[in-house]
Amino acid sequence: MPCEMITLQLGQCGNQIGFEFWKRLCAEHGINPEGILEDFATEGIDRKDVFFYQADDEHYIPRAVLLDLEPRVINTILNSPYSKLYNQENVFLSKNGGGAGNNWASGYSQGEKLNEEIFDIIDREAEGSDSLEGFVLCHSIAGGTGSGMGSNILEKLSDRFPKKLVQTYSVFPNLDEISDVVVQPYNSLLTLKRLTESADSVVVLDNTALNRIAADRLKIQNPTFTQINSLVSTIMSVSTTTLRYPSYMNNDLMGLLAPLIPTPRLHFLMTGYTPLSTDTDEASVRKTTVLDVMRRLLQPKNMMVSTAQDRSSEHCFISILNIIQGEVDPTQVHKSLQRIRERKLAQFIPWGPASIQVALSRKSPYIQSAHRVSGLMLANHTNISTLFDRALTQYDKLRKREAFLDQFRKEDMFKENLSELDSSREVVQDLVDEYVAATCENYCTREQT
Amino acid sequence: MDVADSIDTKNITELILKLCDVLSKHNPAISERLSHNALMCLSCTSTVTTNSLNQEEYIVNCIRHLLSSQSKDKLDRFEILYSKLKGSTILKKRDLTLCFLYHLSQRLGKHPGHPSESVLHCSTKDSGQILTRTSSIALSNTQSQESVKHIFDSRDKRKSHHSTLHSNTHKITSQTTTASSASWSKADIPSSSRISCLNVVTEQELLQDVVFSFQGIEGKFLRREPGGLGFAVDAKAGKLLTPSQRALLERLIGISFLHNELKRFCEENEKQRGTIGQALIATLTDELSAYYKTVAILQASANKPPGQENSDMTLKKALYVMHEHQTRFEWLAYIAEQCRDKKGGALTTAIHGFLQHGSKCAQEISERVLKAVCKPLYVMLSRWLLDGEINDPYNEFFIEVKTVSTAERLWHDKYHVRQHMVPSFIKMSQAKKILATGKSINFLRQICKDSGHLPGRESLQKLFKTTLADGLFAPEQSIEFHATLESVYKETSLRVLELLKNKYRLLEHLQSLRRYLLLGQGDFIRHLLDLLTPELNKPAGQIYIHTLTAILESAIRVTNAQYEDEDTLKRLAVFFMSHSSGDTGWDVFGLVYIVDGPVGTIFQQTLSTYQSLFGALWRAKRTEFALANMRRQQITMSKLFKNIEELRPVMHLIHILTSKMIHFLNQTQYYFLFEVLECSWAEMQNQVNKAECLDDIITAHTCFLTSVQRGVLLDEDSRQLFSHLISIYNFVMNLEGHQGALYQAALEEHEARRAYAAHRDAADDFGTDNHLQKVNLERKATFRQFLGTTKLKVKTSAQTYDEIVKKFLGLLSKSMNMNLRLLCVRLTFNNFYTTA
Repeated sequence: MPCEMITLQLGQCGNQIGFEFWKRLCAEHGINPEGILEDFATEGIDRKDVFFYQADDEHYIPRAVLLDLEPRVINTILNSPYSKLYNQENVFLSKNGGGAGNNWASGYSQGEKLNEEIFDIIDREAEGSDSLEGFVLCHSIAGGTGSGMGSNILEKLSDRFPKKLVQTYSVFPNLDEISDVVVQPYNSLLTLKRLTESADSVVVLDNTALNRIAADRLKIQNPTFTQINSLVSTIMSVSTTTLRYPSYMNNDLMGLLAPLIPTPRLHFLMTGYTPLSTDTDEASVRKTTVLDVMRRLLQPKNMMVSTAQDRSSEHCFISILNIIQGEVDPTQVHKSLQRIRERKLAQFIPWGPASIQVALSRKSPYIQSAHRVSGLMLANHTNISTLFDRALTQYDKLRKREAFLDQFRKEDMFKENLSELDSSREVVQDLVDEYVAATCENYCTREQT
Repeated sequence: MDVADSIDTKNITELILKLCDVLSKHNPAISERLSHNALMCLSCTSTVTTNSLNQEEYIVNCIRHLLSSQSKDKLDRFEILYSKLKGSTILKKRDLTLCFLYHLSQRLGKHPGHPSESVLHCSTKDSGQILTRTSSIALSNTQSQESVKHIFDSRDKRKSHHSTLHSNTHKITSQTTTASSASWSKADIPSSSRISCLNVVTEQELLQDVVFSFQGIEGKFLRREPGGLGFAVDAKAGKLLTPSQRALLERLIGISFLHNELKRFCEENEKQRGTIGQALIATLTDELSAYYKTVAILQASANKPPGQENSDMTLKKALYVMHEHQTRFEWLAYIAEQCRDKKGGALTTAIHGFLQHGSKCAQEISERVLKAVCKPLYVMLSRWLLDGEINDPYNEFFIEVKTVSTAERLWHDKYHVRQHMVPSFIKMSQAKKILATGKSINFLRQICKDSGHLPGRESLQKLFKTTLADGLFAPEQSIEFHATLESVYKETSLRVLELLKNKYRLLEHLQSLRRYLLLGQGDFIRHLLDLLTPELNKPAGQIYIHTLTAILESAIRVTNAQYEDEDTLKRLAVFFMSHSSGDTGWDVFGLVYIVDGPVGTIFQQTLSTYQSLFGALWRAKRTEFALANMRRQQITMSKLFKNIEELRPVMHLIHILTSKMIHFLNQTQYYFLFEVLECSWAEMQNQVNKAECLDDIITAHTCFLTSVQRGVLLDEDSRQLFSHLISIYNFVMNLEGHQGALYQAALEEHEARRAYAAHRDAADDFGTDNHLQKVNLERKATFRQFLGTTKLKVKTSAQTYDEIVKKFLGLLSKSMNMNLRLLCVRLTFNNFYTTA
């Protein structure tokens, strides 16, 4: 089956969201926790092969590689009812089990060392697929393993598989609470460089926004990881729905990303989802229409990225793709677009044609939803740069004081100098500049001398 | 009466004489005889007239007495008449009248006259006779003259007293005839005119002629009209006739004309008019036979020698006897005239028109004819509705059969409604249902090979058994007929639909067509494109269908198409259009979905439409796919060649242009696939689910295709738009070429730089190879030059592309089609093209 995706989950956060993601995919495809197709599931509607492969014994096995430097989360997964789902050979735990200690440098260098073992697994998976479309990487950018080892793997992936797409679901740290990871700004910046240079598409999952949404929209005062992760898994599963339920368009990842990403570097996507509900909250929005969905998706409070909303700024949408699921009359879509255009609910780039693209997608027939219509927005917005700007500011504060750099200096990369940090800063600054440039009409003549 | 009043009574005798003279046409002998008769009659009445004013009671009693002595019936009759008389206001001097009548009867009693007097007789009695008599009464008695005047008035003007008087009057006649038997030589034939008796032409002679003419034979007086159908009174012989005889004859020969006409109609059309025409002829022949019967009776009574019993046939009588036939013949002739040159259904229509005629007679006759005429139609109809058979050698039925070339055309072309043959009592909509019912039977039997029992036949069979042809048009019965027809139509149509839907998987075929020819199965199409691209890039002449078929099969194997029904997959095939030089595989490749058997009826004729739709959608998809691949290559390039700084400006241009193209393609594709295809599809599904017959489905399907064609700019109005679209596609392919060349050049440069760097590193000391350095610099310069020209090309491309898109948008915004205007809005959602 063409267009297969291999999922790599890294570190504590990556494995947690990955776990939720697979749980959800199983439910949507009618696969039970042991990988067996449920009796009610029928073939022909969905494409399970994008994310699963079929073993000889009719088991569906996720094309997933679970990687971590400490065993806690992976052990939880292996003790869950889903333990038999995964190919045990694809679970990689560092032998020393000490973790990366929330240190990017440690994660990166451990990744370097374990490179061969890890890529044995990845190569095997890649060879096992007919025509691999690309990789999905789940990680957080603030910790040690996901960010450090993730960065390493990203670099290696783009070297080894330059023609394959690399998409990441990257969790950005919560800035509303004081993190116990003091080197978080360093970690973030160093990872951002790899995300800019080695990834082809980054879906930004901002913990700040996710926590706010949980609190404000879902009325959960102290959201648990599971609750947040179920939000994330929703986003992940819906954003891959057009790949898994083939229809006229957007049947591969490239088809999905091509209209979203105009130039290779501007590949950081923010997401929004509506209607939001958790298990406890039974459908607060029942009579949702396409217009409701599309309008709400444009509201900042539904965005999973906490960007500074400055109305006076020139920030604008580069592109929007709305994946709408449910009972949708295609004619309604157009009316909604008209309405949005008339009310100027969305500001677009001035240097090229842009609009809200819509993908109508089927829903899993096995999951009952209280909502008639639901929608996910994948958007490329220039104000994502404020997030990077914030990362730069935090980094600069820390760097000025030369704080907490000792742990970094221990690793090979930083033994001689801290130029890697500087170059990372430069790359991120370039990225911010490019996003800012993209708000102007002369963006298309940029780079021209 | 006024005239009578104004004339002096003394002059009455003179007047009588004068009258007699006139009546006898100044023949003094006859005049004398007449006046003698008249005066004698009048005078003898006057002698017995002893009137008394108050003697009404007495007279009545006398009459009663007289009548009771004769018979009880007469008495009763008198009582009735008398009571009527009393109630009447017209007779002012009742007693005198009665007295007069009483005396008359007494006189008559002494001279018993001829007993046989017909009513007809009395009614046509010449008034002259009475006048004569009344006048003579007046001579002797003014009073009685008055009363007689009243009798005369009432008799002549008031038919209500007819009966009272006539019994008396004809007695007078008999008396008169007896009295003057010598002179009234032909008195046995109660003649129409006194004067005719004087001529040589007898009533009998005329009658014989009339009877002959009734049968279309010429006689002495009645000759065939030269060049015409009717008879005319012979000019020579006619001179002997009195005006009234002539008038009568002329009335009578009208019947002969009608008879001839009908007879000729029958003869002319006997051989050539088909069954319905034959039925008409048969009915007319029946009518003619009945007529001949009457004529025979007429002949018989006319042949009887005078004086014999029942030999009192007269022309007038004949007129009366033939009257009914005449009216019937009039209508029949009229109907026949209307049916001339018509046959079958048209003929029934012509007759049906008379059914609403105001004349009751016309209604009756036309109904009778229509019943007869509809019989063969009814038989044909029953065969058609029950078995779908047509036995119509004369092309009379309103459904015609044509020969068809292929089985798929049976439904469309084999059977038609012959519009002019549809009887007016069958509405066009009903005729169409009748057509559909029989057609469905044939479709089931011949195309679906379904010999199963058809539903709803029992009620129809029963209907045909129990009702007659008038069920077709008679209002009450036709309700039942049409109700049955309706239900049979519905059930038969439903049977066809069920069979098509269940046994022949109609809905699945529709789905498959949408999935494979209209690109609904996205993953399959995408993979097929992926696999086919290298092959289709070759010139068309170098491509072999078996290679493509193998590719198609492998695309099916790995995508969700593998779960498709085996039958469906068998029907999916590669199609190759004929190619000319310069064509690549893309120009000639197509997918087909072979639909045969009964469902072919729906799809066969639309295959070319599907082909063109596939072509348009496939082309758009291919362009989209090419753009996606370009984007993929761009991503690879940006990773691979991040060290080649010079590449960035040109790549940036390409990136921007590609995004514009991707935006355009995605929006148009979304419009084609979701707004056009999906909406039209939903509409068709709705229609198909509601469909009551195969035609509904065919219509829904055709509508679907038309609307999709319109949507994807394949209709006539969108030619210009479509050509712009094609040039936009070409721009994409053009850019793909530039990018490909750029990629190759960059790759070479990349390799060369790496090799140079490696070589430089290998040389451990700082010793530089001048030659290598020079080569390196030269290569770099060439590469830069190449980049420069490529950049220029891309820039020009971008400009022209923008212009074409603007033109395209301009056309869209001016389009009459609302949806196209909306597409325009979408393509320039952020006003990029409108402001730029």
